[in-house]
Amino acid sequence: MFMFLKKTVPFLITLGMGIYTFAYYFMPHRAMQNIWDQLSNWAIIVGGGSMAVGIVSMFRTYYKRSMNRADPNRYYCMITLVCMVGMAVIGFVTGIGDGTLFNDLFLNVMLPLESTMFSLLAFYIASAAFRSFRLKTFSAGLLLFAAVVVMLAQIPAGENISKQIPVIAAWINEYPNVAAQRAIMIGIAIGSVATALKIILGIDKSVFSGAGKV
Amino acid sequence: MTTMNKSNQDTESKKWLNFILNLDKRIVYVFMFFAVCLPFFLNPVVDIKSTPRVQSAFDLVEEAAKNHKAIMIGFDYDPSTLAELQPMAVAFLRHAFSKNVPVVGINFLPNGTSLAASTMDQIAKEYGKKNGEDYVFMGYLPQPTLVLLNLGEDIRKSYKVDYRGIKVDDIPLLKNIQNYNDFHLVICISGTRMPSSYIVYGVNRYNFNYVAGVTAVSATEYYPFLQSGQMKGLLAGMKSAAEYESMAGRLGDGMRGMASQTWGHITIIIFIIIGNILYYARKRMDVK
Amino acid sequence: MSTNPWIWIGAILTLLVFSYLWKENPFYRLAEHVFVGISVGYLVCITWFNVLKPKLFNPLIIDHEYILIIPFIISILMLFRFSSKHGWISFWPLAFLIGFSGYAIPASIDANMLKQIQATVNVSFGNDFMSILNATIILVGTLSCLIYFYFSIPHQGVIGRVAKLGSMLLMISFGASFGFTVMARISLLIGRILFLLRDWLGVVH
Repeated sequence: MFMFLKKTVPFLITLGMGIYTFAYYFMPHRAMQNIWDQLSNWAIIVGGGSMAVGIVSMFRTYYKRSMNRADPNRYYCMITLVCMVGMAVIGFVTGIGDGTLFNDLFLNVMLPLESTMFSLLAFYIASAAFRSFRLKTFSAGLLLFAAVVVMLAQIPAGENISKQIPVIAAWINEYPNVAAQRAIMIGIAIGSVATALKIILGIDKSVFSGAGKV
Repeated sequence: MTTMNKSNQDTESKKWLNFILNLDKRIVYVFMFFAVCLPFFLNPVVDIKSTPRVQSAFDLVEEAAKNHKAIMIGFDYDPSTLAELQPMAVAFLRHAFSKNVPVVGINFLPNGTSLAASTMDQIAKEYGKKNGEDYVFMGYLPQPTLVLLNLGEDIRKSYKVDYRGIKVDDIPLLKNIQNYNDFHLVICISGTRMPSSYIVYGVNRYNFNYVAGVTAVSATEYYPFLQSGQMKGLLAGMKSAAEYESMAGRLGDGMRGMASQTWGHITIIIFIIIGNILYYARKRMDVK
Repeated sequence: MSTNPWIWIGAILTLLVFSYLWKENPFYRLAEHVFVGISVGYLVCITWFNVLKPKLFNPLIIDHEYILIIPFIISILMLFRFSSKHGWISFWPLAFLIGFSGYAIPASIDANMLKQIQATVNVSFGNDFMSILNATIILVGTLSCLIYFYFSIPHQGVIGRVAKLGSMLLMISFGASFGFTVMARISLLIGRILFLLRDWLGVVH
């Protein structure tokens, strides 16, 4: 019975939902549509509710680390917890609209922090260009040529150097690039379809694992 | 004696080459910083040639104005891609509001929700547009694939209220809007895989005019959709935003950044060239 | 220079993150941990006000739509994931959500495979040299790239040469991608520098 609940029930739910949603694609019939409307609404709610798993998991992890005197980062973890709880409380008290403290904190604390963290990548790419981008083989030459042409085409100076640079860059993007990216896209589609089929048909059960370890 | 001198000279040169090749990365960073920083003090770029993929996006907004139809914008970006995608969003909004095109905003990325709401409010204020009448932001919802499918049937199936908590049926703008058919154009601005989801779950089934604004990093992935006709236009990174601003005749942060973009690219190209010259010079010495 | 305290906070936090470029330091770590905390707190509120309140709480409590007890229970079952004894219960809601991928199978085949194959084979050859060349690149190029990814047959002889052509096209595409990546990364830095110079220091307009 235990194995039935643990293994068979999730498999049956996935199979049933999988067959229904697969059929819905081909049969947007009124009855099918009504079921879809209900189920999709539930799924959106469950999707929102599932955020709780991530939030609880993170809270537990940071709380444990904050309480661990041996952890050298315990004070940082405390700061994370205070910010997490503080932001949530402020949001619930003030609301999330324009002009609230919650919105101000987003625009003036979270936004600069996140955007600056990602802007560091500009420095790393400069360092990588200097240290690692080497013209060692013919293939690397093709890569380098395409990269430089596209880089030049993206700036007004490129056209000043030669009127042909934007034309060549557009050609690279619209023909060789389309051929390569289309092959990658088809490959990914085949892979994702195979994975979805394996999960729905119960061949791949790895998604139903890992509980109790978070 | 001469041979010894030459050998010393070679060792000295090799030492120098190794020193430059293993240059402290912070020195490289300083060059990059100044390459981006200093051009802001130069005259800004004011004109830029448009590409057909951006032109067609612009034309679709113009058509929406002519046909008196609304457009839908998916603000699916967060602060991590702000500098690239925000100028695009602002350019689209300014163009739409200047032509009295109503805009409905949606969002599938929680970290970008307040950003989208603030941007819409701010640009609407510039043009004296009213929330609920000229524009509306529906807020964030998870499960984008399901919401995109539901939007093809009825917007009310997924959205009960807008971002401000106003009931959908009480929003004047949405009175005559039911599904994709009521929009002349759907735009997705995102640095994620979301623009593909719009195609798989929206365009494929409901066949509407669709344009994507993506980060430059992911631009190459979307060209096949452009060639297959599943996408009518494509904006890629800050350059496309600058092109759009230039066409709309209202310069913004996209154009403001083009001088720095130019010097940044030139710096990277110089780094690649110097790096390769030094690499081959050292290799030649090693062979000797 | 700005007199708005919020701009100052944003500028100081920006500089704290930039300090990482010099080396890992406590100021950067502080900024990093503040960011993690704030963003999770933000997520909680956005999810509540945009999803759970209008779609679950209000209809259930105010409009008495009791059918919504079902998704509420499904959401609660998710939390069993933390139990080492009853963790398997969380597989049920997971199975419910995963089941929707059934729709993705035909949708993905249609949009990402059939439409793409259609666009490849229907490519217009035209009359001039460039049109013929471009159409050939699309047609032969896509096929050769697919062959490059097909490892069930050895890449020797004709197959090897076709795969080699595919790998060259892939290299060109990756090169273009790198060129665009440079643009993307520099744009992100431009955004922050513009904030510091214009919004904070007010030295540029």
